[in-house]
Amino acid sequence: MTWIGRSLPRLEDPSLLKGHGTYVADHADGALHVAFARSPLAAGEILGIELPEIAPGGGQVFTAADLHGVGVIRPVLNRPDYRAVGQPALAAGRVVFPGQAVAVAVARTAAEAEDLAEQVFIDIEPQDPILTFDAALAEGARAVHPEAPENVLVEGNLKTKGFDEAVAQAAVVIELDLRSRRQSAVPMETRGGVASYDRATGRVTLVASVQMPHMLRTGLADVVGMAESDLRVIAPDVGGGFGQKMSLFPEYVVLVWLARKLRTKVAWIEDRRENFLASAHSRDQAFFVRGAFSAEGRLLALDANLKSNVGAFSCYPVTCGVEPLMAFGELPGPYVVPEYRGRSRGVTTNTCMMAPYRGVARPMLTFTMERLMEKAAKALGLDAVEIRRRNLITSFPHRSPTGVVYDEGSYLQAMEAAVAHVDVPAFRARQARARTEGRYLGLGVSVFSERTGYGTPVYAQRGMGIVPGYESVDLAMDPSGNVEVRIGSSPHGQGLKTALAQLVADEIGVVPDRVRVIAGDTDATPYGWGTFASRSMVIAGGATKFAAEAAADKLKAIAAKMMEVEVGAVVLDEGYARVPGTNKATPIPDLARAAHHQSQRFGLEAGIRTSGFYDPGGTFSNACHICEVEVDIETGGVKILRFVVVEDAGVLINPMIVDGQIAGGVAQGIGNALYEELIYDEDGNLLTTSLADYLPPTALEVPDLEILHMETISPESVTKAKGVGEGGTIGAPAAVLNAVADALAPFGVEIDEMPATPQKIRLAIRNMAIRNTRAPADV
Amino acid sequence: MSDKIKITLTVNGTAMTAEVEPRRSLADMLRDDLRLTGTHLGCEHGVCGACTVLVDGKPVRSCLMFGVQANGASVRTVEGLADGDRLHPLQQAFWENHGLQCGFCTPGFLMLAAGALEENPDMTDEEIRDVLSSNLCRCTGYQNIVKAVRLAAEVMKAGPAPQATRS
Amino acid sequence: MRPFEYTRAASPGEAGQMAAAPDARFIAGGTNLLDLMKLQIETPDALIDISRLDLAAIERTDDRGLRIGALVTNADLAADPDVRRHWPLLSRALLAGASGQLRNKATTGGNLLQRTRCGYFYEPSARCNKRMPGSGCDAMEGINRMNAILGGSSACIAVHPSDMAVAMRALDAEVETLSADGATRRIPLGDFYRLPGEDPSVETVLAPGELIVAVVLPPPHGGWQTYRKVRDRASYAFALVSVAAAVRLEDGLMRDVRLAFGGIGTMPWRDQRVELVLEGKAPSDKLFDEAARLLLQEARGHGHNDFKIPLTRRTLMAALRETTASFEEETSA
Repeated sequence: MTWIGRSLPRLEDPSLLKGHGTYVADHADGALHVAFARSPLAAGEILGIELPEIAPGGGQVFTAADLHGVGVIRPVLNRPDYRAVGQPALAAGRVVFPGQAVAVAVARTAAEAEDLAEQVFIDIEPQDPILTFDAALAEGARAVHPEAPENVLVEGNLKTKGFDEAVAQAAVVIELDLRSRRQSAVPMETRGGVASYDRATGRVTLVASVQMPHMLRTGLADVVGMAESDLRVIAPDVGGGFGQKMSLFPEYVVLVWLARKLRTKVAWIEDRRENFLASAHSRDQAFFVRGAFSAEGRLLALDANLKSNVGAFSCYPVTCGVEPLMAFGELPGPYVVPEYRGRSRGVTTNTCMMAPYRGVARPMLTFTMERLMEKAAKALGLDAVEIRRRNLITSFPHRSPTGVVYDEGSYLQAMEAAVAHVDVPAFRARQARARTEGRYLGLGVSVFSERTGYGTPVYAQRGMGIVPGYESVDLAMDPSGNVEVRIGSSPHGQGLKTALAQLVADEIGVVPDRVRVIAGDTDATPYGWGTFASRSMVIAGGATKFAAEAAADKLKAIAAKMMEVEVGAVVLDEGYARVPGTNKATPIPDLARAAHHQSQRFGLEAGIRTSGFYDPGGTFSNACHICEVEVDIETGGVKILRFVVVEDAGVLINPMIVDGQIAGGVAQGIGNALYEELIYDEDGNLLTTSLADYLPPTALEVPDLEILHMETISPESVTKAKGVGEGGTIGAPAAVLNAVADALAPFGVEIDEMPATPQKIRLAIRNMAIRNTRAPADV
Repeated sequence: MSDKIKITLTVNGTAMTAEVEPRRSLADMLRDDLRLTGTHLGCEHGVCGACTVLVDGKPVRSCLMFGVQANGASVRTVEGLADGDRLHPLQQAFWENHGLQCGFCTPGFLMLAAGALEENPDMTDEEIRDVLSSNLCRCTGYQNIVKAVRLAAEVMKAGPAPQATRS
Repeated sequence: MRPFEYTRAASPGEAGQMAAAPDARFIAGGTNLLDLMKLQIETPDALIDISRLDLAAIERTDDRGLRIGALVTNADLAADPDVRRHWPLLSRALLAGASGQLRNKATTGGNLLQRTRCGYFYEPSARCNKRMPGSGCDAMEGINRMNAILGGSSACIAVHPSDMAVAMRALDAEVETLSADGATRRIPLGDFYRLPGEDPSVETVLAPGELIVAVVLPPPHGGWQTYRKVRDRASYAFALVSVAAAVRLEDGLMRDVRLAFGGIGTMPWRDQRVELVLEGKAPSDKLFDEAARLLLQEARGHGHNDFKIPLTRRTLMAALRETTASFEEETSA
């Protein structure tokens, strides 16, 4: 029997369902509590910090002046255009974004620590905040950081040789000016850390809600100035991350420093307001793009001017290049783009740092390419599906003008399958009927690629000082026949432990229940990069497969000796080593015991311990999303009536988990498309600091999805699985917004911004009606 | 500093006493004083619903209620749902239908659904969605939660026949 | 959160006496107060817990009206068969507010006293006359998308957030109170709230220690009723605009028109001039438009909330069309 391909209920779940999960706040027992005093202003010089009078035993407050020997967080990108900016653990001299930590209070309870932090008075000489890229790039604008006088931290530029000629030949040039507003990943569990000092060894253990425990350890040791071996980082159960928990944050530096300084245990559990203010933001981008098309609707050249507001700092380790450079490098998406001119800038402002969030740049670039196809189709009198047919990549491997190599995918086939499933002609009839009743339905298509499971080659190309990408796995079978798999990856809700157990089960012939996957503890797992960028199933999965294959080889060798047959005759299946065609069979636990306790018989190293390593070049998943909406033109409200996904993620190890990733991703994409927006006012106050102001979708906004699968096998993944963590979020906004634009076609309304909130949709309808002077309906 | 107040209440069927500062929320009291850490805090402002528990049978946000206000009340938390190792039909359905990913919001959804199904075992699909729209989940996209609650409702209605168990 | 003294009151009279002290507050459901205390927007020295007082009954009055105890939860009130049958507007408005768990805790009295959701009221580093009298109002020139277009002053344009109070206003509710000195009085809801004026931190006419014991509704209106709420997200979002409408049609003419509005006023808004325009006339879009124009004649946008003016007009017209059309369908069926 094979376990791969089965929707096995997850091994992680029973403890979580019973309330026995242990998240970071559940580790805070006996700790002193920490609260941060944060800057109320977006920008200014710190003139002084008045600390509260504290009664003996009433706690302590520290500022930057106390952090002797602590460095700054300064991630490196080896590019001539990169301006490295250091982020201090506590603000020193000046503040550069609202919510920046300035002082830290420690007390017996969280309430007392908050009381103390509240009493810290930070005297700031305010500066006019620079909040937008327009303000930052304006002639003579104040520099947010002296290191970057022009407020540009990173810039990519490229022009292919035939670009000008291609544009000159175009039958039509389509222009787009698109905007993605600032958003937040909003994991349901906020950030938090508990650092404890061990008096016996002098080591510090940091339990923190993070996605990259090994990387965090390296970064913390460097910044705090301690030996890496003196620090252990544990990611316990993590309540969602979506990229927000990848980076090294100043708060964790302070926690480790405090634990060492006070030789005690300290805990900081972020509140929701802090999470909105000072964790990491995302998506704040403006893309100005021109597409040159032939009369037949073929895209000849793409011209892109891309701006990303990366905020006040550069996130560690991936840097502020992550959004602008991915936008720049992957803009063509699933389309053939013969010639390309691109400029992409990461602009610094007095706002919260931008860091990866599920999808990174691709929700916006997919929105861009999909709007481009729609507008070009309209301009050329072509069907919107037909124009995509003429431009999708169909021969592989494909090399994009930016040098990205696409492995085998099914862009065209996935779109055709989705279009057939939806029955577009039937929809058009429904849409026409509805319009006669004053109801506005729309259908939106989105085709996209999702680059997944990429190793060091891709990151090295970006010039990152720290090049992530590979994964290592250590596997051991104990004498009782149970398997332990130690991974450098760090899952936090994805169900990776179950999927890896299924992989191992098939290789070794045991049931998944006997496979325990250990992750998220730097003392217990090999160095690895954690879970992000749709990578873990591909890379940790590949490394696990290699380790399991090696273990299977050893088990077979032992079995062959014990049963006195050739190694090649042995198969491992359903808990036994068998010799097909004979009645010879040995239980796998017997092999395990013999490997440990009768090792002299086999001429092999005792025990069963293997390892695997995988560092692939990456593989592209792809999908087509089709969304049907109804827009209430009275209110601008959008209701999603239907959502279809045709996904090609190669072989599905656990289809239920894959569908769960897609559904969750689409829900976030719907939120990104219609509801979610972080708003700073002109003074730099963040006005959306609660979940009643920043609106993730609820069960009423997200429909049941119809998910279909295709299976294109890539040689770039040894497990034949492709990553699928981000696709839902990448593709959904374009599908939803194309559908809204389609619904509003009678008004001639252009949708050029996400989120398209009811207010913005209403305004667009109204403006168009005023421009046309006669309204198609009462507006 | 105000004095601690001694209160008695029933938690998951067991009488308990606690001495708490008046400013401690019910959620903090459950987690820190009674060591029931299955109740999670996602926003502390009454919006996300991760902290949902049943107070006198009704789902409430335990972050928006002071512990001292629960004096004399009966409180049920996620730790009280399963019967030993036998999962409650809701837990079983969430498991089989992948109604959770990171698991952080899950106790709140379970208690919200438990309270709602006790009040109305015959909810329509729309009513289920409407009830569940009180809580936020960032991982699942909700459809498997809705499905799990629907299927659990059927199991619960079918009565106390032995639950299917899974090893 | 700042420390405070906590006492559970044994009777309404005792509660009032205890709460007459400066910086004391009643707490019942606590769903709004507790949140504001966490943010240190409210910093009472003492909380008087009234949640166990015997004020949770819903009973018919002698004149076929309804007396709703101050501690009746929003959930119980919305589900009450009598309310659903005879005051459906109220039930709908309640269900349009907050979420199930909050409705299980939030009380009738507390709901009336909800404080605004204005972003600047919540942002400690911003100026806000409601939070810190005399400090100024950053909403006026700021991101005022959620703020009021009616009833504002130069000191404050914060919206009253309650859905229930809007319905109550349309239904001519009266607030029954008990003063610290033992006196009782009834305050029509229209007189209960104060416009922000110079000092928006004072929101009602309640005296220190004066406890809401009940809300009294007059006999059922009997006509068609609706509560229309426009918001950014279907669940748990505050109103951009809401309209409570009740209309009876007699011989094709509108009678006893009641209209109240949420999301647009510094208090639950009602303008009887608008009702009089419609009173005794046959429903028509032209007339509805005239009513909307009158309602919005003094409306003032502040930039980001300008959209509320046309949105209110459209929502009012839709509510009037709905109430008058459903009546026609009913009679022709």
